[in-house]
Amino acid sequence: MRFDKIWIVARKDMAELRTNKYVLYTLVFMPVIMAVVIPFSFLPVIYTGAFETSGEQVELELTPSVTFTDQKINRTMIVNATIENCTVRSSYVYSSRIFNSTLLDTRVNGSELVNVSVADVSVLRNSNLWNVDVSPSSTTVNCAYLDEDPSDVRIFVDIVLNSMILFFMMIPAVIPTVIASYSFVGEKTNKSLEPLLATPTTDGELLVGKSLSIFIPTMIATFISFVVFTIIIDVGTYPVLGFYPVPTPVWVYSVFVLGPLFAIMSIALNVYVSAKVTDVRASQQFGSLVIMPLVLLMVLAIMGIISLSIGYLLVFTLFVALIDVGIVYLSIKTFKREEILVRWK
Amino acid sequence: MIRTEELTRTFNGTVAVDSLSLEVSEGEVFGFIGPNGAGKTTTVRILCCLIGPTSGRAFIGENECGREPDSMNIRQMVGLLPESPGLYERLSAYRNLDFYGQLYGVKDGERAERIEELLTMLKIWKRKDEAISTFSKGMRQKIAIARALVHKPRLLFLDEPTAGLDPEAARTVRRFILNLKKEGGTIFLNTHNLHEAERLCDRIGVLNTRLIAVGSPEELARRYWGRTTALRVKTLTPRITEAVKGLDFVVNVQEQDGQLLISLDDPDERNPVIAKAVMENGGEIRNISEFKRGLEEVYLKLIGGST
Repeated sequence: MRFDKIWIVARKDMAELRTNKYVLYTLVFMPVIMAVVIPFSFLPVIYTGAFETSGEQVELELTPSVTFTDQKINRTMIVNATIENCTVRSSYVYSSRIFNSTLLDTRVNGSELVNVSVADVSVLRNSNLWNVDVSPSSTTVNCAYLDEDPSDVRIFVDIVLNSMILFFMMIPAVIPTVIASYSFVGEKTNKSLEPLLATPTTDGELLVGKSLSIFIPTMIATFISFVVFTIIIDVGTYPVLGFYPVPTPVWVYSVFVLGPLFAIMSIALNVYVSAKVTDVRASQQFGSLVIMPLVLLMVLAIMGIISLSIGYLLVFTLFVALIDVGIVYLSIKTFKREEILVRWK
Repeated sequence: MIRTEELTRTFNGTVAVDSLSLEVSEGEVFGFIGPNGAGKTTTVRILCCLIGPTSGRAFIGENECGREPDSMNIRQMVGLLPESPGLYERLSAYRNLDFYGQLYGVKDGERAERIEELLTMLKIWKRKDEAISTFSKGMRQKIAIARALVHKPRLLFLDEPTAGLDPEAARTVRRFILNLKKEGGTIFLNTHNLHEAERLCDRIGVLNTRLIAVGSPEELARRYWGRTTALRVKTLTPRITEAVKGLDFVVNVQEQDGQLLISLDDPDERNPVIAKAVMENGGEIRNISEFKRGLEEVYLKLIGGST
């Protein structure tokens, strides 16, 4: 197989798709819905859930505007800040979030402390404390020692985020059905396949070239969506959670392993469907069958039969990969010159 | 250049091409005429290595169709204009040709020159950057022809090149083909347009699943009608007609538009005898010449006889 021929075909198809408004709409709206609208709609769930798991707490209105990370802070007054991995000595801290830090001879008021060690003669007042170790020489006034370990919050957040994976996987699964319907059926209805097949290229080069022209924009859209999704979730939840919940191994695995597998399945299914249908819409309808494995996963997850852990995802990956092998085999058998010109409808 | 030996292709038991044996020489313009479903397009597809034969063999030069790597060599050396232009509507004329030039491996600079040469020749250079969707049917056909020529093929297959075009566009395309012919290109032309075939082709094959006849238009006319003398007299009377019919070398006599069409074997030798008989029977000859049968008459006779 010659990569230069494959790339020529792929580049031409991508140039053509860039001028197709239906493809462009899909490439924009699908990620916007799955990577922007859905995460935004889940943010309140994360906010509420995180607090619910934290037990009785002091009412705080925190709006951190400054972040201190990995610093030694000495004799400073800090207001509305996020302090992470710092050693704070002889300072005053108000209305802030303090994570994984050590406080020495410091006064804290109206703040949230997570995984903090408090030593010397420090005073904590009107604050929520998660996993805070207060030395006997220090005092706490009107503080709430919350029951839940922050790792429980992490588990809750992971469950919420993992449920979004199923929506997110629609991006690599559904976008190819739209692009491929124009690329394969569109080319068939336009009768441009015959001159293309008359060129000195192999069936495989044409199939891979055309598939690549669908795979590349799909995966670019998926990866960009993942970045946007990560930013929205992390920026939106960090003030509440005090940590960045994505990317997690499950998410990274899903986006970089399952995503491409779904895209391949979708493309191959469309090649096979192209031989059976005569218009773009019918192709899209048949092509949308590709979300069936996703729906299955979703149902199993909702019913609590499986959890979206790496282990289950590995099993699911094997299942999707097997379907991929079968459909790719069918598509290779379908995309042959003789088949296209003689048997395609 | 093209050679087929007992080439046969069936589709689900239906014979599309039956035992076709044919040779086309380099530099020749060969035309295939025949009714719809006669197997013309199937033959071209086999010769372009798009589909394989059910039995028999076909060669382009030394390469055998349907056998690798020969098929790849054949696709590299032939250009195909299919029945439908099949262009990429959303791309510009230039981008369409550039894509095919790249696939055929034409080098960058050479490709740009070739595209400019072809589009200029076809008078479309000024619109090279416009999308094909804005082009008329005739212009699309021109682009499709340019596409088939972008890699300077040794052999060009044209399947119905003027079908559906208005007379002016059809004439432009025909002139272009004539220019290619003058340049010595080998062309295989499928057409329903008998006038076109007569004008453009050195030899014609009449196909109706089987190859019924092959030869130059004149040869075909002669073979299936014999030679014909057209005789025009001042006043055509039954006596003159009977006198001509009475000549022993005359095969057939037919009255048409006030003249007699006399079928015979050797008009050069026999025409003076006919003239003498006419004059002896009171006829005043105005004109005596050879009558050329058109390809249409040959075609209808052959196809009528084969169906």
